[in-house]
Amino acid sequence: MKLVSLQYSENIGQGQDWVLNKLTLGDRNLIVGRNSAGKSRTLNVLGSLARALSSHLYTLPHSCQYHCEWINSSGSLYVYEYTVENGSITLERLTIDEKIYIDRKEVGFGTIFYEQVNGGQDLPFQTPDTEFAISKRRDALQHSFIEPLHLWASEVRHYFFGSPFGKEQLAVFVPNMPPVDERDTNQVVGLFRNAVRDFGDVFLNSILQDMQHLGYNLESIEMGFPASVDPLVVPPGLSCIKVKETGIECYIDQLTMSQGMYRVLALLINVNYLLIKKASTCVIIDDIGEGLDFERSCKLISLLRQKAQDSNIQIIMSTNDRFVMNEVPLSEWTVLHRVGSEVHVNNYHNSKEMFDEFRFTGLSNFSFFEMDYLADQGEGQ
Amino acid sequence: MKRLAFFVEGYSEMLFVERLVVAIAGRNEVRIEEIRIKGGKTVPKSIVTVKAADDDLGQQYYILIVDCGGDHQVRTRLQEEHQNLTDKGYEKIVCVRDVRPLFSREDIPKLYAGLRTGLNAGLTPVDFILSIMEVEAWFLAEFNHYEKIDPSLTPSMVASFLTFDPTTDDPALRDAPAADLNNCYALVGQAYTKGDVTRTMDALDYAYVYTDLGDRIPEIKRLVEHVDLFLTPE
Repeated sequence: MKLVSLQYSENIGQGQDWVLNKLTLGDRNLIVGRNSAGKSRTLNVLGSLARALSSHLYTLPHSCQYHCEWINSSGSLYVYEYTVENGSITLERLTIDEKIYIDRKEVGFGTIFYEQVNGGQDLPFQTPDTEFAISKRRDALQHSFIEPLHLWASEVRHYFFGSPFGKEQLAVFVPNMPPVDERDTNQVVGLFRNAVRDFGDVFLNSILQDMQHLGYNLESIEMGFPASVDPLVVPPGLSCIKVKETGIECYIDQLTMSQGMYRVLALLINVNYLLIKKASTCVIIDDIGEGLDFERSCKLISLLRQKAQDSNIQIIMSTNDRFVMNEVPLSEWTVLHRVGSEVHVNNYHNSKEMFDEFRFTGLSNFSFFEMDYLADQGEGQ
Repeated sequence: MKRLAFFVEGYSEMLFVERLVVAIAGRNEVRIEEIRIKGGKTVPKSIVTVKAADDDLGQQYYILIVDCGGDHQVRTRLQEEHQNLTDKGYEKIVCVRDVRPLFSREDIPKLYAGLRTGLNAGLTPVDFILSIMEVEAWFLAEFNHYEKIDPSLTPSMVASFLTFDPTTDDPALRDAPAADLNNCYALVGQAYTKGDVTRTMDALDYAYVYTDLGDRIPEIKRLVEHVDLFLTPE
């Protein structure tokens, strides 16, 4: 499944309006825009969609409206839309190739398609108006059409590259503990443990290879007691991620690792685990490249784009970093431009001519952003 | 002191402009400084001095030639340095770049228009000169230099080999002038490579370029006019 478009609005008419015009997405996407244009908020909207589709624990917002489209591997178009008003779902509809499978209106009443009844039939249902039918009515026999969306949503990952990324979160593993939440980007130690357990050296070597490609001269990555902590003052069994650099005897644990190196390591642990699992989903990375030097920033972008190209993973990144922008072709750009509470979207899909014209300026990609080229050409709104 | 800057795409163009200026003005009449700007796209930007400014002998004219490190970088370097050069009193900036390999012959009008997009009209005036399709087209048409590459290499040999008469034909119609030049040199066992451009730059007849080549190549004419105008006392 690949998310191909998203349209969103919230709090319309309540003095807190925010509208994201139709955002079309490809396999690899770089979202750029000036500060407060809505880059992070757009990525949050995407992350929130995934949570709504995959978790019973999702808390409804007060008011919002989604219209999203996916295409699966055989080319079928899934359209899912919902409206929340005053904390209640007032519309929820799933359409696949123009056939409606879930159609629900106010007070939770609606119809859903049963595959095993009379060779397939729409039947009425009622679900509390604070819960999504798409997550509440999961049934692989009767409603198998929901499963691809649920699988997609459950594997969406949303990373904040500029955040600590769980750097200061160590782990103690005990019997019967709850499973690691692999969607929690702070649980890197637990996720690393799962990945090594499931894939062993294949996983470890992939991380090592990538880190070396980015100029980190590592000979090993492992989980263990933090080298920088006095064992007498903490509980036994405390675990962290630690690395050993080639030619250096001692370990560097995640506590003493530089923030930039740790961010890269944590991201690669997450992404490579998804890749080795052959997940077919979407990786969202906010502020990619933040805190990295020029060379590593560019190499990381190039590596991630290559990984997306070689896999089923769709990648959506945001940045304000000129080196990142120069590294990514304009055909993968989406420029956000906010006018009041409305975020306008321009990319190759809806402004092809402008993007193609820019080539003739002879300028680097960053200038496309810096000069506000679309606005200058009258297309920025 | 009057100041003029050239932003060129590479070392060949830098040498060509330098020698043309010297041929027009005389070695001791202008101070010429040459720099190369590297990086800034995916690695940190750095500025390397290729040739420090000539000694100050009281010259009235100062020319800066910037090797931008690639045709795709000329416009970006200009954008980065435009304000700075304006502040330093440069009266004009001339940018020289190839059409190939990023653009086709049909793209030339759009490329000329595109290069001007986003220029700040309040800063030093800028002119763009495209070498069509490559700067080697200009060298190809400077027919006096062939015999300096090798005494046996004559314009008539070139004419019969290329079906292009270097003494009369329009070199802008050649699709791959650098390859043409290399093929011509190969007739006498020589080669034209980017690593050995100095030999060709030394061999070119800049007096001919200045006085006659502009009649055959409008872009050379504009280049010469910029230098002439700059060197004209106020």
